[in-house]
Amino acid sequence: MKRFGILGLVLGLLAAPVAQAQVVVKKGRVRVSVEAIKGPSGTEAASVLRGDLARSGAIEVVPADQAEYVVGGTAVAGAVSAVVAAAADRKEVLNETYTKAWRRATHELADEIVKRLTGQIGIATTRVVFVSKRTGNKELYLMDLDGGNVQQFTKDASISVGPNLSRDGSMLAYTSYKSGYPDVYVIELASGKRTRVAAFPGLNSDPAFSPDGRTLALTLSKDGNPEIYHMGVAGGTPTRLTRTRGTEASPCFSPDGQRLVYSSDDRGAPQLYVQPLRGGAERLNTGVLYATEPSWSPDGKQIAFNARVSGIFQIYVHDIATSKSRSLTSGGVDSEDPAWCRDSRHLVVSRNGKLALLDSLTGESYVLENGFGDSTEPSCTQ
Amino acid sequence: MKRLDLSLSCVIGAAVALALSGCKSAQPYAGVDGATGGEVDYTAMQSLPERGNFNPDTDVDYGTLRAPDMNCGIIFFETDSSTIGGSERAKLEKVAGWMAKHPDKQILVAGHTDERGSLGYNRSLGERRSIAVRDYLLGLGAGRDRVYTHSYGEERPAAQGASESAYAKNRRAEIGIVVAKR
Repeated sequence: MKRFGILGLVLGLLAAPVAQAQVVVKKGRVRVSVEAIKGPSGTEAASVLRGDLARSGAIEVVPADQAEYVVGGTAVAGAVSAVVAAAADRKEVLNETYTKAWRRATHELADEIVKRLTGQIGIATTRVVFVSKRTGNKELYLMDLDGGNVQQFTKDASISVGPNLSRDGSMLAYTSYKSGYPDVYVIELASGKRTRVAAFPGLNSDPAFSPDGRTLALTLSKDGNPEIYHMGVAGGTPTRLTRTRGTEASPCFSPDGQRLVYSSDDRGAPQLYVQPLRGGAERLNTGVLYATEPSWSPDGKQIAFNARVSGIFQIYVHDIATSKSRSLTSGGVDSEDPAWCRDSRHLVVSRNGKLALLDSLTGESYVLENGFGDSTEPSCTQ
Repeated sequence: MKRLDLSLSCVIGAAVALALSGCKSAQPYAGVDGATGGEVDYTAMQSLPERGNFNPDTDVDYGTLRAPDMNCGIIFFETDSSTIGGSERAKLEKVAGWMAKHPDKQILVAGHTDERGSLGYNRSLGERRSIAVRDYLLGLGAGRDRVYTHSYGEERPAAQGASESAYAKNRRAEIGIVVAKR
């Protein structure tokens, strides 16, 4: 584990993988070749599929002569058909047609291949919401995990920040200044219906859905200090959970919905605290002096966060069972705002204005090229 | 270190227990840091006033208190801090004096941060700075319904660039006069 961590640092530091490290990291991965995919969308689909499979961390994309499995198929605008066969005996392990827009169909194919060949959870169908100031104002955008299929989601010409997707991906909560005040809104993604759910005096910000999507944790200052509250997703009377003279921020639920992790600077620089909904906060001993923006992994085992070390933001992961924290990034570039993917292995982070996918197991990272230079605050569908 | 941890969790735990038990009386601050020495002695959190009938983006005059004859419209802060520094207190006394002379006016305190903190933390920190200014003014006799708080986090820097001098200019609370109808 320790060696993996150091290896991760090395890989994180270098743009080009180190040959020696590559051997160790790739060991145990299923070797898959994506043959030419036929049809008008075939070339693009093959490229997207190779990227999806490589980012899974479970598959190594290789030339046909080194492959254990070979993928072939046809892609048209509205459907992708694929056959996956063992290289040795040509025995089919998957033969499916996905009838939807080729890009989405290809992501679904990638997740199915990962599941069938490795038993791991695929992440290619993940959608990511993020913030960009491209128009001159901070607005919310949605994209596929590979950076494709970008859609501008808000057009408020105000400040739209702190987005959080519900676990089932049906709702999006965020903070908007469109009334002039920082208010919390919830949007139903299917209908586009937007509801203002928190507009109390002072700050209303950083909403985080509970796992069942029924409640939100958020930061409110109405009682005279920025504190963490818990309220129904349709609004209503918030229950106050913290009471300090410091600055509380960035709540995030545990996957069982029973606890929250958040940051507080009540004793100086911000630190992380874990608190059951019934009360009784405990400081998380992360070993770093400045810790913010916590994100609890879907399997409940780890909390990722921002650590400011020597003035640079790095991504750290705290293991709950061992109470040990380790860094996933290093070097002189800020990495911030970690958001877990559904496999509890990969994180989407903001790195110097680009979104990147970090593999918490190997330390490998991929830039998720979305054509934007200032992407921040990602949140992922589960 | 360990003892501090424990005592802090106890304090927070007790405070949360009180909060959840529905205790209505104002609770004293549960702070443990010594950074507040010399500040006005405010010991209870004051609920914020209901929002006024104005838009913080468009209906606030930041010029009057910032003009050379007043020079008290911007309060600066140290990194990650919401403590009102000794050099800033005279400005707030001026603001309180102006408020006493203009009893029909309300003010908005907009808290800002530099770009170095985390985005979410900075939203809260901007509000904390705004509330620190509000509490100080209340300590000087300003009516609680006359001081509104607001936070822009790091979204509205006063100075561009990644230099310490730009950061110092951005860690601030801007005090403006509400100009719209009440």
